[in-house]
Amino acid sequence: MSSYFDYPTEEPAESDMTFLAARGEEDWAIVLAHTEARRFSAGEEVIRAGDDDRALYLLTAGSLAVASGAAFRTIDAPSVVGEVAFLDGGRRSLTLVATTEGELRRLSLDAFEALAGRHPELARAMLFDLGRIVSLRLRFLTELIEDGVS
Amino acid sequence: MGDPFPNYTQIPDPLPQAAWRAARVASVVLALGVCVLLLAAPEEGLDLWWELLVPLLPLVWFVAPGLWRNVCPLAAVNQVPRVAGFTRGLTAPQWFRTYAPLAGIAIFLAAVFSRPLVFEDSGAASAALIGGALAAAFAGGYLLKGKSGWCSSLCPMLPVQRMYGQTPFATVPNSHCRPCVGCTKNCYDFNPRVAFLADVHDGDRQWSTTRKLFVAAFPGLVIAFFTGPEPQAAGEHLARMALGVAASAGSFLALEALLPASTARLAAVYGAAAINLFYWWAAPGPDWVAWPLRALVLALTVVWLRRTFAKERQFLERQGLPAPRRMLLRGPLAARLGRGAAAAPAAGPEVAFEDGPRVVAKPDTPLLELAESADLPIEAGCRMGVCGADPVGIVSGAEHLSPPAADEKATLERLGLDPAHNRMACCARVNGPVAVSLTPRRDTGVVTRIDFPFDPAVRRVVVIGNGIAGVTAADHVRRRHPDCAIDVVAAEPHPLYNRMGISRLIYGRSAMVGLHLLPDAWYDDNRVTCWLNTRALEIDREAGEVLLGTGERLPFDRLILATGSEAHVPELPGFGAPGTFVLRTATDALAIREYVQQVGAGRAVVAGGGLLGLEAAYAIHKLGLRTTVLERGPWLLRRQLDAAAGALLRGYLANLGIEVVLEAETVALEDGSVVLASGDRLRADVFLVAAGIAPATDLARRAGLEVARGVLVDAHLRTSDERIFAVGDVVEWDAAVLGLWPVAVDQAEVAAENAVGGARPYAGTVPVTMLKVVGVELLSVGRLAGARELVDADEDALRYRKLVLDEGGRAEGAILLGHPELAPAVTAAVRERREVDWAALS
Repeated sequence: MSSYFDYPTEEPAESDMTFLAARGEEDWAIVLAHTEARRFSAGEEVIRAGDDDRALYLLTAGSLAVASGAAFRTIDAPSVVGEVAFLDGGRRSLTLVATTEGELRRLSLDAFEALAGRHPELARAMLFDLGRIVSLRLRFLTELIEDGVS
Repeated sequence: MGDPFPNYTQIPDPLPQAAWRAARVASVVLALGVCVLLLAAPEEGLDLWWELLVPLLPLVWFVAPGLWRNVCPLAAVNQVPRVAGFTRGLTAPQWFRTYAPLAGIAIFLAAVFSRPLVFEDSGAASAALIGGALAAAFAGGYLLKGKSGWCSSLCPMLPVQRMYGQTPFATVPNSHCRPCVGCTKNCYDFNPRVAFLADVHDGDRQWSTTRKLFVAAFPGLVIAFFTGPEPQAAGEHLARMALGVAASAGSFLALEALLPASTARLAAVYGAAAINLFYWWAAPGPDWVAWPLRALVLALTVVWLRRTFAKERQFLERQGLPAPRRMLLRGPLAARLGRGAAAAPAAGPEVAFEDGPRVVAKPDTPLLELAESADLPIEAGCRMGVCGADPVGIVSGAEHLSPPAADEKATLERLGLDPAHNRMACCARVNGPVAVSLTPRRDTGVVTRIDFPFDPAVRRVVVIGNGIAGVTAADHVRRRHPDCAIDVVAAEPHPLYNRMGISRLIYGRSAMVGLHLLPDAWYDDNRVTCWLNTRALEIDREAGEVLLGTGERLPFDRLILATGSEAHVPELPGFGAPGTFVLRTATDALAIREYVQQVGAGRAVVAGGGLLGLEAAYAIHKLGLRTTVLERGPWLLRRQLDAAAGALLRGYLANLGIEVVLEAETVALEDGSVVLASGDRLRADVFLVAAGIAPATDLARRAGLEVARGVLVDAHLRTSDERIFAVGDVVEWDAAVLGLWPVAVDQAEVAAENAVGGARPYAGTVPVTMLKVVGVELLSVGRLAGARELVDADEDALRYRKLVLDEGGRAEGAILLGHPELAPAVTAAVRERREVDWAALS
């Protein structure tokens, strides 16, 4: 029954789901300076499920699609992608395919370490914010599970 | 065939949103107009409302229920707070979710029961009914999220709409909920074709039974309403109505028990009966309108029933199927970037890695740097094109790379690679679009032979040592002398490997994979006999033989000593116990990783704040140990940095979690602790000494060659025996032992040439250290202090640059920390002792 009512459900408010919302251009310039810029074209597999790829991606232009069975959703710039494997060091869980051309900024773990060595306060803020975003998602899932039970 | 139960996001919308908004405004205006008419001209108002509008609504719900759900004035006012952004958006409490639909049914029944008594003849009461509903819908929308405050809960019309609208003739998708907030169980607006079936088949008995009961009672309600004699006493009327409802519901239960038909089928039949009964009595207008309408409804009902039954079959077939794995796709997919991230597209030449990403390079970035930051599988070694760790194939755009220098060409040739199609990634700096393959191209023949007037009397050359000095020497002997025998004797068990990469063996999980610097066939292809894991015990100068630990004797006409160096270990009580290490060979590094796992080590102390010490500390830190670096001097990297740059680096390490103790003298190791001269004790499960190197001169000394700190050589790199040459770390030249790869490579080439009959002097090598130490690019060249110094420091970014000039303003040395882009220009200026326009370098 539940599959007929797969509500996209309530997303946390946009301000909650924003990475480094309170940081200005100066801090962001530091973050971006530690990243590597990648271009992609439509149809390219930008992230492949199962890859060992410990990095945080910032989607600065274009759109990516998550494909799982028949369902299909897109992620549009500007968004954060790949924070789960970045935080836990596990393999990529989803394949993301570009639906347009665009650009990603990739922050490898080594690059993050270099950033942390130079700007520890900013690095700490980044980690807290990623943790917060992942927690929000966990809360959301918890609610979903409780709704499913009741 | 498509999904028989599409949700509203999958149903094409016939109208643009703007049209729906306009229709909603019109319908609210119409509703208010009806209220005004009911008050101002009750007779016309009541006729319009009860005799025309109300009787038409069921047909709309039957044919195109979505149309009504989109334009219903109650829904429109209910959604005003959400559209205008002032809804409190609360989640309905559980009791409300359970009982609000029941309350809606109760309100509906109450309104129908009391219609002839209260509303039918009173414009004011009817206006109040409509106005009250509008107000209640608005209040619900203000309080609760989505449509859960009215349209999907309390709305008294909802149960009728769900029943009549379960198999729409025209499916119009919901145009209100963008996005859906998931406010309601079995939401009709979300999936209109399945909502009623989902209710009837719901696992919650109370939920399914109340919906069933409503449908069961409905035909009886219609009959009782229209068949009552007029005029009638209120009590009698209500009793008749209640009886009709009860009889209808009772008949449903009886049929449910007696007939094999499913509940949903029976409910459909009851719904079909109700709508036909309704239009039998309520069809508006004169006979020529009413009769065709009744016929139309009947015809539609036949089609509707068939479609409804078919739909139930599809529903039941799907019941057994697993729900699609859509969980993953629910919820917020990605967080947005903060506003400050508004980034202009990256500018710069594009480097396309074969089967890999297309990265945008800052101009003058070496390919190695790009591949490393992309975490592509590439090895980094000397970063000067000498060691041969990082050859790559250039697929296209070779002209957009900085041209290869002599060192780099020689390395490529040693690797058997054609410099026209391959580059050492560390040396190739990008100036335009390039396509690169991490696998070098081997499809072209490489001529490495150097036409040289070699001495044919030299038949046998022995090289002791299989590091970069020994292998380069063997290579250059072979290039100049095509047919002498060459033996390379190596104590280590590995073919030539990237000694600069060994710290990775500590934290990485790929062990020696990728660390070897030569193709497997290199020794065979060059007809070099390699003795791995074999000790040279003695040099018998009289017999001209090298005695091996295995008993063999290798005769030589020329001998090249490339025994390298060993880790220098100062006298230290306690050193040598388990948990104490040096880091010089791959075997040392592998042993550290092994030991850490074996004992579950948690703390490490590294004695020595030089390059090797910091690399080792970083590697151990990455392995997860809490790491402290002890440096005897007043700052880190004293051979490469000045005090200011050393202090910057120390702050950086502290931020990473690596503690540095300066002016620390280790005096002993006791009970798993390091004892310092200050009296401080530091716990250390792992203790590593990185206190520099000591040339491995033992063999030379026992052979009676002249040895000071290292083996002494003349300008042609000959030792005190003219048949014996020495190269690399084992050599003392110009009163110094340098221990650097470029020096070893330069010396090996010169000594090889001289060994086969040449007379080439060694001119010395300006020591350049180019490293990425602990994630920071470091270049240190020439002198670190001098007559004039130009310094720029950016402490926040850990960037530091210093140029040392002589009295004449010519470059004598430089330190660059975090300025990889300046490396080529500054190195060249120092090597050529040129004047430098410092300000222009930025």
